Amino acid sequence: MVRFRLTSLGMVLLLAACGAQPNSSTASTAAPEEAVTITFWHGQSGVLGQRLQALVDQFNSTHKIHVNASFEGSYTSGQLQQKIVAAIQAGTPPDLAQVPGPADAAQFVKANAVTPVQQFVDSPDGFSASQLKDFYGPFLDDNRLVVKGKKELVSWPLSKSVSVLYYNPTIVQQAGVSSPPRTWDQFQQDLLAVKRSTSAVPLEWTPDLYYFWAAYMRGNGGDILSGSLDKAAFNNDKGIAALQYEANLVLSDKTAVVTKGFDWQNDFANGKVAYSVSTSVSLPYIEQAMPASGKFQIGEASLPAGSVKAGNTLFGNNLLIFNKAPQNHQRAAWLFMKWLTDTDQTVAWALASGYLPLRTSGLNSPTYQQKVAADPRLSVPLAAVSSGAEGVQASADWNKIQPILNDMVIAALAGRKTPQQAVSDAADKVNTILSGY
Amino acid sequence: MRPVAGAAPLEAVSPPEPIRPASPKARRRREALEGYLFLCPALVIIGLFYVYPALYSFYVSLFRWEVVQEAFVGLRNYAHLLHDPDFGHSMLLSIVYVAGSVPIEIAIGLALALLLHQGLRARAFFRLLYFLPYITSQVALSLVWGWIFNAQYGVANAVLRLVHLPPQGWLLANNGASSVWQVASGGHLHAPDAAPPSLALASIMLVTVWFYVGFHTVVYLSGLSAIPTEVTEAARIDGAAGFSLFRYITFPLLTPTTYFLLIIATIGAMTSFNIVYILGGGGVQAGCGGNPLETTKVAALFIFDRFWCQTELGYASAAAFVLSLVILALTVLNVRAVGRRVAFAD
Repeated sequence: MVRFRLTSLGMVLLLAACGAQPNSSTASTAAPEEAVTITFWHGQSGVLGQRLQALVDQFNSTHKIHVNASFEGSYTSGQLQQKIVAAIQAGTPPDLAQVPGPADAAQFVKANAVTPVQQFVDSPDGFSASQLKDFYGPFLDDNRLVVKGKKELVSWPLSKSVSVLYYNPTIVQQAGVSSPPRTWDQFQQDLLAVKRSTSAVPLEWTPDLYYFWAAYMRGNGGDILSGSLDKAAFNNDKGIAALQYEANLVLSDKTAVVTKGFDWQNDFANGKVAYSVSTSVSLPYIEQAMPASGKFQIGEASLPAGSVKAGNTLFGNNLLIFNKAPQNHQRAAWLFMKWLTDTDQTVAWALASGYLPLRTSGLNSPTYQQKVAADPRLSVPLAAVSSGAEGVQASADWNKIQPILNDMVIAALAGRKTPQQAVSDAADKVNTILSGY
Repeated sequence: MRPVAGAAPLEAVSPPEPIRPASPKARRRREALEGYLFLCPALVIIGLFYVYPALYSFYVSLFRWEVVQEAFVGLRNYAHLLHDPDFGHSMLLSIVYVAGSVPIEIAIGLALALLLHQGLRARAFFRLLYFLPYITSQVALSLVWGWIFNAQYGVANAVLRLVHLPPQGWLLANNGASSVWQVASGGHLHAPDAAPPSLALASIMLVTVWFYVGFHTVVYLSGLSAIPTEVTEAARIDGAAGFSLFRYITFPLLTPTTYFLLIIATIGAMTSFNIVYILGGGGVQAGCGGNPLETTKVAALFIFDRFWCQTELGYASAAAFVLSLVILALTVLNVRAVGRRVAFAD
């Protein structure tokens, strides 16, 4: 009799376990944390590196998992990427790494070096559909790639930013401009007004394909590559018009000055420039460069819109798990990523780094709302994200395509080629690369 | 010798074999073996760090190889290189870079060596002064020169403004160096003429010459010291002086030194990377592997860009192999053109 009761109890428990929802992320269904040490390569140096390390230390002090985080080279200049490629070649990649964006993730997916995070998202350690909605859609879309014919989350967002327009309110008011431009045509007129009425440089920036050829083109419904990522999609009137617009500013209107790297920041910080274009992360750096006697409140606005939308571009970096790591390391890496992007941590990282909170709950948190109340500019980039920002297309050949497009922009701005010729030549080269000669 | 009473009888001992001297062949074999044994450590290092990587690089060039090894493509990477205008342009820039820097640095090095050989006071101080750049980190020097040439805040434009000349874009200027006196605004991109070198590349060549002049000076000083004094004295007795002494005695006897420096400098310039990377492209300032419009993307920078920035390992390896063949061809050219004219005092 006792044996029968025990057997029945066992069957009940077994049935209960089978009936548990696989997508629920309640602690009761997730396995307990294992004490493992994982390696995390990142590309944040200086102050941002210290702040990221502070978050890592906080995680280590409250979890059994121990994360060994190390700066392995800047992710913006390709140094971190180079380290990762070398490590994959040597068969010794880290458990977890920061990657610049979907294009780099696509390269590593093509090399069969990655464990897509979708399996963790769908696991008891992951999120329910309603919990996933807390994340800003564009940030998750930026991490979805096609793997074996199916689009899924491959990497996970960490630091996201968006292209914005910075302006000097004093100079633009002097020129009679009362508000940031909503359209590209209005922007052109505002630059001419600044040139007519003030001695400031109307626009100074370091141009590349993102600032702002892609923004103009995408805002008018165009795109860089086709949906299947197998051919150039910019060799048309939209791509040419976008390049013509920029070239006109530099060569015809002479309202725009081109600089190298971050040189524009110094002139802008010294009050010599009316407008500049960069990412939302640049704000603290510009403010740092201001002389003590010449501080001013920098204006921030979304990039102007085209006929379809404001084509703001998403930047920043994501997190990736490598499949060479043992299973328990991969799970530990996911748990760390999940914690790092939890509401409190995403707010802390956003406020410490200048990147954006990844979740609506982060934006609505009392801490962040307090900061927004003190500085309403903090809400501008997130509004830009919500109005249709997108990242680079997830082509594994993107690192080969990007310099061609940058050269295309510079060739037109330097007057070496007409926009039509520049676009046509660039499209030929891009198609050659995508055809895998 | 009488046997001692009670002692064991002495046994007859045959005389020792005479020592035959080793045959010349055996001696040469032994000496050669000793020589190879002494060479072993160096051969192992050269084999591991030069020969093996070169052979492996050729192996990689036969594949489509991005993050990991992909399909075997044979010589397709090489075929693509032959039709790649970017690679052709990089090779042209390298040739321009060599032609614009090597003769100048050798000529200035020779001139300085001749001056220092006059027995000046503080000669050692000047020798150190000219040699200092050569023993300083190329990266550190390039970073400083980058600021000197900064279009907005650099010393170079400050000097130009002082003498009422228009400021230049310098490292940003993709216009031709010959148009440097055209009216231009510093930091602006403007319509360039097409012939290299650009002002950006010319600025880098200036830094290169400044960096290597000291090395050439020191080597030429050594060459000048090796010229037998009797030869110059005999020439003076015959009435040679000044330029004629230099032309008919000193310079011909310096041909071994010139020949050596020409080969070393040409190979160095063709593979030059550090200075060009820091000043002309690379990193956050100008993208991963080249400045806008790539007017400074010499061959080494092209290879770096394709390998590390665009992750085309197979293609970049093919480019590296082709570059090594071009350098070999230039070296053979040097040997044939200049080697035959080398003269010695004895």
